[in-house]
Amino acid sequence: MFLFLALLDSPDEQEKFAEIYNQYRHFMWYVANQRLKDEHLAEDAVQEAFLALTRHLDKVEDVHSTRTRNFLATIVRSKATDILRKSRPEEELPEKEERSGWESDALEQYLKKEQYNALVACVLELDDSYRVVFEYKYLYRMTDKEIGDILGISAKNVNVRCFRARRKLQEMLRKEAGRYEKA
Amino acid sequence: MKRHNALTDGEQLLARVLEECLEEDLSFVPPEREIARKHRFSQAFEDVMSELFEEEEEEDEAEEEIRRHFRPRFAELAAVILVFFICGAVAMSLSDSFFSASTSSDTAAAETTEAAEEETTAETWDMEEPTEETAGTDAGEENGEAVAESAEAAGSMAEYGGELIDEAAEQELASSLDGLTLELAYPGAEGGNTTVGYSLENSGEEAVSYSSLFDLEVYLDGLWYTVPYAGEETRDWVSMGSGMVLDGALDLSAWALDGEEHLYRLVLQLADGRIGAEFTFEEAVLE
Repeated sequence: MFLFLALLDSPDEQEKFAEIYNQYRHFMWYVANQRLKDEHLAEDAVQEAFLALTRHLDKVEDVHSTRTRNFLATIVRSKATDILRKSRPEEELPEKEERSGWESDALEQYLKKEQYNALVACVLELDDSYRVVFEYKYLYRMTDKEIGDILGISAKNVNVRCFRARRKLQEMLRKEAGRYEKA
Repeated sequence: MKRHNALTDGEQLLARVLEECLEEDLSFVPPEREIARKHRFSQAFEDVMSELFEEEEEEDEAEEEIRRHFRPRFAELAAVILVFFICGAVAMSLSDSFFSASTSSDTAAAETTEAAEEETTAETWDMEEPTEETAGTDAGEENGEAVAESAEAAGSMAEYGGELIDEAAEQELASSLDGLTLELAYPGAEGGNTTVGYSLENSGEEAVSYSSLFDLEVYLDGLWYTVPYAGEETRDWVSMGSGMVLDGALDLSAWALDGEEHLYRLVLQLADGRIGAEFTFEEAVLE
């Protein structure tokens, strides 16, 4: 089916890829299975994640670092989320452009140090489809094009999904802030 | 990671929070080895992923192919030389018996022939030390050695399942050799009632070759004996890359088990020796 290693340019990359596979495949499966609750679908997510990784192996500097482990977790979670979305197409919203209100994005005003605990609580509750986009964008500093390549969507749709994620987080933070005020 | 487009203070804070949340989520994930013990990837997954590494293993396979071709031919050559000497010895014995008309010489020749046949068979399987076996040039001495080794090859035997079985080639076995470790990973938890799970891990820095066919040995009266294999699988050599872990399940119904409680061990032949892992029948095989 796939000759993944043929997609990698150099023997060094192939060696790095094999090392990642040997060290993290069970970990990635576990993370995927936590989301999917299905061992076979979790294996599909791991395969998809490794396929995506062949195109973004340059993002991995030290195979054994925590950052690499986290990066792989993000990739496999995004693949698991994709599988869930495909299995429930009725819940899938069209990725049409939603630029209205982008300029009035008020998330920034909620991202304050004083809001740190509320922010942690909201991110933990945030839907994985939004959270992984945030992780790709802000944690691993990937471009919309790179994110789109991993998610299998266009850069424009990444932008739209990111906008929705910001809007969702903003709503959650506003509610959280309101709860604090009432208390 | 590549850096581009400076983040705002708020986005930097968000990145810190995202990292903290991710760490917290992943803190509940057990270590890789522990997950590997509990989960075995499906055959379909393994097939796809093995294709994934096809290119990398091409080099190892070429090396293995050379070894596979070289070894049997080396053994065959050794066997031919040995047969040549033995035939010479037999001819001399027959010649002596013809001229001396001695009945005792005839008997010796017959014994020598039997020993020679056994020696030839043993030599075909023993690929490691063929030169030592063929070193002797004196026909009489060769005959003596052949008879002695024939007797030694018989070793001690024990009754198991109504049949006599041979003593194992080695009594003391480690579970690890050349970086390759054999463990019974899922004792009693896999498949049907005669299936035992195992885990092979190559923690060494180089690929290790091993026989694809396990041996099963049983502990009887203080010695290990080889349980006869009745399956159809042929013995082949496979290579395992450095750092690889292989989990598998072995159906013991291919061996003639007697169904009694014994101590068993699975034995794996490596290029430089053998490794084994012990289990008791009630632990590893579901009733």
